[in-house]
Amino acid sequence: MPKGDLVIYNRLAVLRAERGMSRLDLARAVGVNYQTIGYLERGDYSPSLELTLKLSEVFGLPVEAIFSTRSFEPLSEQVYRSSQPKEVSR
Amino acid sequence: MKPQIPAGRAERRDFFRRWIRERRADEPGFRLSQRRRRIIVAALYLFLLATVSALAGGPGAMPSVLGATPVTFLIWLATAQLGCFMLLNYSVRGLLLGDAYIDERERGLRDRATALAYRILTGALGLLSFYVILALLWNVGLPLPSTAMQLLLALIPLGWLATSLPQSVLAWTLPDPESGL
Repeated sequence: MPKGDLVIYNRLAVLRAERGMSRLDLARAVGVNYQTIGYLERGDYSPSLELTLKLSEVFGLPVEAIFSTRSFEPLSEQVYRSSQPKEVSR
Repeated sequence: MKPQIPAGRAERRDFFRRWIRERRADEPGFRLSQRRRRIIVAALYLFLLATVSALAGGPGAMPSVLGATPVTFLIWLATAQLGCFMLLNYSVRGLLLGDAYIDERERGLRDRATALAYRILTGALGLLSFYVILALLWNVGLPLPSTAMQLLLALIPLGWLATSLPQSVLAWTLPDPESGL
């Protein structure tokens, strides 16, 4: 990605691993070359709106759950925090 | 399982496009390794340079290997160039199939390579024009084609360059393919 461009973070690798999909499987599902999935996962390539919507459809998640302009918090931290008992205010 | 070929014309067209795209994705990566592609590009332009030198020097300048005549030598050079060109096309052919067979990232790569090739070719033509102006206006003793045949011989390498540049730029710049797993 050229310097100065907006960095788009994504959770593609995690989501793909969760579903046990290979890059080739995901590439076939969205109709791109499998190498493009690698470029997307590393953040070396920002997808078009069309490809973003296709990925969102494949994973069954809203676009903002997959892509963000800010880096994602690790899923494990999110899960751990949500499982912690909430403090009761007096 | 044997894939079912759809009945409708549009569906069949989409089916075959998808089939070509998937088949390309399954191909082993060694064919597209950057090192091999760069060797092919270097060989192509070395053979082109050898042809230009041989043509510029005339029959006397061509080496006689195992009793081969200059014509045989030129045929050998042309065959070698053609072989390199075919290999070059093969190594990046996926990106030259057309919009329907490549994805958006590959389209971007192809367009950038074509634009760079155009700039290189424009630069080469500019240098050639400068050479002709230099040779004609200042008469510094630089060789110029004087007959139609000599002009044709000078244009052949330029034609080769124009034809092979986009593929060469792609082959040179594409990174090594990675695993699909």
